[in-house]
Amino acid sequence: MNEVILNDRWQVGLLVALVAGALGIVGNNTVLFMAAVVGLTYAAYGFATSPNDPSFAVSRTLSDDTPTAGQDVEVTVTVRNASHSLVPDVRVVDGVPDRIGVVEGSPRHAATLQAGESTTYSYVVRARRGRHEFDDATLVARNVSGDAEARSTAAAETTLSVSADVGNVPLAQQTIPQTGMVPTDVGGEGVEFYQSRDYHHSDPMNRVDWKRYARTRELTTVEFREERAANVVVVVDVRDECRVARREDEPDAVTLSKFAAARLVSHLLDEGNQVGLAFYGYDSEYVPPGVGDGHAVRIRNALDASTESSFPVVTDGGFRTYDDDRRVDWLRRRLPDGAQVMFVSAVPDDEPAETARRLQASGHQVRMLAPDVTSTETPGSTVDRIQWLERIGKVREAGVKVVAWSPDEPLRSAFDRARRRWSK
Amino acid sequence: MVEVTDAYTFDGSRTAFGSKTAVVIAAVAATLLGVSAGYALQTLLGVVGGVAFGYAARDVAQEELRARIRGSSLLMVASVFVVAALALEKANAVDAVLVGAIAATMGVTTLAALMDPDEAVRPVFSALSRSFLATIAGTLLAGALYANLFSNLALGSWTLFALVLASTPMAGFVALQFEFVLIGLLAGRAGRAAATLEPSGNPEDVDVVGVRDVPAGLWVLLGIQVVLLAFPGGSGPFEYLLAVAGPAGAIAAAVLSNLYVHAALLVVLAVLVVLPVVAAVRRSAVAVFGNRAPKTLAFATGGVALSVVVVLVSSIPGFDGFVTWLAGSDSAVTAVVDLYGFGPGVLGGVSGVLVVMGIGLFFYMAAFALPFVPEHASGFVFGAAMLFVAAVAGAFAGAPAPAVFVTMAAAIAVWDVGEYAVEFGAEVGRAASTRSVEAVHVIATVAVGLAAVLVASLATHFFVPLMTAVPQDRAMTALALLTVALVGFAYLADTGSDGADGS
Repeated sequence: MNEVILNDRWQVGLLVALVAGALGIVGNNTVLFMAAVVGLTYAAYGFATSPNDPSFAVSRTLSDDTPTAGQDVEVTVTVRNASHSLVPDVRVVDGVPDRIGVVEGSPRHAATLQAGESTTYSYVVRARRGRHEFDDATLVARNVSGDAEARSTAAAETTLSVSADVGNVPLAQQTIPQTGMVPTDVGGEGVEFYQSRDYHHSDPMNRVDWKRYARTRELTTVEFREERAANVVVVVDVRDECRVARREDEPDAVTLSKFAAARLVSHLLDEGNQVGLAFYGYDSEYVPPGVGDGHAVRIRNALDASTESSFPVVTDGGFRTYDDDRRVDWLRRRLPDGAQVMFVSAVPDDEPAETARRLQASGHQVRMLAPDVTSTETPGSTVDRIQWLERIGKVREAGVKVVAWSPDEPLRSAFDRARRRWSK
Repeated sequence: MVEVTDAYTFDGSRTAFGSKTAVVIAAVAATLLGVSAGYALQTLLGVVGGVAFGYAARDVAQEELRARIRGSSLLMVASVFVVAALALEKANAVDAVLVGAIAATMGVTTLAALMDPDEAVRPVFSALSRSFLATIAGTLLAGALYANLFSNLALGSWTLFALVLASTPMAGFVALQFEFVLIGLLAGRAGRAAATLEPSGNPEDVDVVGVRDVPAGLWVLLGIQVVLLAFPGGSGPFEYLLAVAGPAGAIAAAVLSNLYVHAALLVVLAVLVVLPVVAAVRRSAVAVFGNRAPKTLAFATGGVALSVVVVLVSSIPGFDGFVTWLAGSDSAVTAVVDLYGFGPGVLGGVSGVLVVMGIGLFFYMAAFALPFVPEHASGFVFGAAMLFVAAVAGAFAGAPAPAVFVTMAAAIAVWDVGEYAVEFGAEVGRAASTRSVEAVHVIATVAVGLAAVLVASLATHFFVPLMTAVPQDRAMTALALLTVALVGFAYLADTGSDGADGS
């Protein structure tokens, strides 16, 4: 349905004609009087051009319907003039979802369309997590003189679903005696071949390597790499030192860490692990490892809650100070035996390295996920980045494997890259 | 206006193609009209000045200091061009209106093509007012130089001083005392001023040079001497003492009354007074502006620069004669230069143009507040109106009929194309490709304009000679009826179109 709007655009011709004619008469100037013809001609032009009543068909395609977060997706819009007349001026505004950012091109377009003719344009959006439905495209058609416009909307249902899957998280091999998804160095039940060993009477018959028996007449038993569940505590560094952002309009490291922790917890719980949560900083929030949907909600609520200070502090001459040792001791008292730690920290100083080293010394294997909030845009930020890389190096020297994650890339990419590097 | 919420930054300013086309249409029509009316050079100057004004207004509206300085300077260039265009007029006020309207058309249209003129009004007004103050000061200075005010003042003072010295030796004695006291005072101040102007200097190091405090008794003594000098016979005792001293008194009287001695001391005084004055000016500037000059100071740059250049150029001996020779004996330029001099004439003319520009800005803002002007009207409306005024002035100035018709059509085309560019940009933005669609609209508008010019020219050529035989009262009746018919037609057309809303 078109909404036709007429304007009195060309009545300006009449105004010009009247003024010119009147001045010509008053001033006794024939040329000026005859100049009124110009104004009259333009007025007649406005009356002569009729408003159009076009109809359009709009289609929209995406280069990738299910991209990963941060991926650029090209949106191609095709507008066809479905009426039987020429539309000299059609303007299209595509209904880009509010939360999707256009990074290249424009979702707006203009064209002249013959009857049945189509025009195609494209622009690029950057995918963000979630499900995003495009709105209807808005079309404005004008006649050649511009004094009549028809407004309409055209539906072109398109949905962009962006996966937030973090992929395969490279956990440490510290596991609990429950079946899970963490490959271990223990032979047993599983899917990946681990080793062959001599047959024992207690071995089940389906584990006997019969092909080898046929060749050598020796009974051997095949063992698979056992996959077990892990007891993981995700520790999020929420200290004030982490309240740093790469740019003014970007989230700070604490926000990024909590976001990554939420994805990690969700993924690890889906894989059957027992997952807990602890805040490292001025907050005593701790959720012991557990499983199930209710447990997932508890952790999500804890992550959504404020991280204002409530951590026990010591006073020193009236000044409130925080004892780094107390933080580690507080953590160690709560970590269950055999639990491994996924430490999410932007590593703003040397403390995370020391904490990771001490947790490892306590028998908890530690992996670190480090959001990278540094840049090389200015000399100062470049120096800051160099120092950050040095601190990451110290963490690695402490025997902790570190996954550096840039906010510009999906978590999945960071984990995949880390796994490839560690497998070399 | 299409309302959408995009996640990207939307630049809804006017489209480049339509804006440039409007400027080109205005320039072509204005040039054609001006040249055909017999004012080729003036029109060229007006067009260039107008375009320069558009860019100047765009620049002074920027936040950067450098852009404001550039804009202020360009504003002066534009003013000089307009002054030159108007000064070269030889005929009547209608021609001046024609050239002025051409310049105004190009200025406003160019500015409207570059940015929203509403955003430029306030900074342009600031630049105009500050530059105006600078050019007024420059005009006064140039006038003073032209009238040899300073040299006459110095010569008159020196003559009076010589007469006083010649009247009695006591005058020389009193003058000599004042000269030495002032030299002593200024020597110390000059030293301290030099130390403050030198970054590594310390005023305390030169404190011992010169006299810091003069005893009040000395000033009283000098005052008594001046009073005695002022009264008839007051210098009698002093002259008696000299007479008593015999030859030594005669020599002393000759020395005291010697002009060269006093001239040498006055030169020393003049040299010493420079440094404290410079230091005082510097202190005042720092007190008023701080360590960083305010941004708005950049607005005055053009006026200051122009004043300095004009004063320096007009100080060249024989320059005024060169200008009058260049302009010709019957030119208004020659008359102005002969009467006021080149420097005051140019700076006064520029000051006048700046005032006219300011008034034009006021009318520009006032025009958009009128109830019958649509809210969405842009600067192109004002440009088109100025072109219409130029066409009317051209018609009265005797420009050929086709040129007037072309200008009239161009006025409507500038409005249409410019407004279209503004609306298009607001809806689609500058990032989208709009050239082909705009080209269709522009071609249609220009084609209608050409057809209108053709029809008007043919009608003028064939029908106007026939109309001369019609009595005036019948012609007036017919025109009145035609006007009524036009208004009625417009009313009926408007009423009939209301029913077409909706679909």
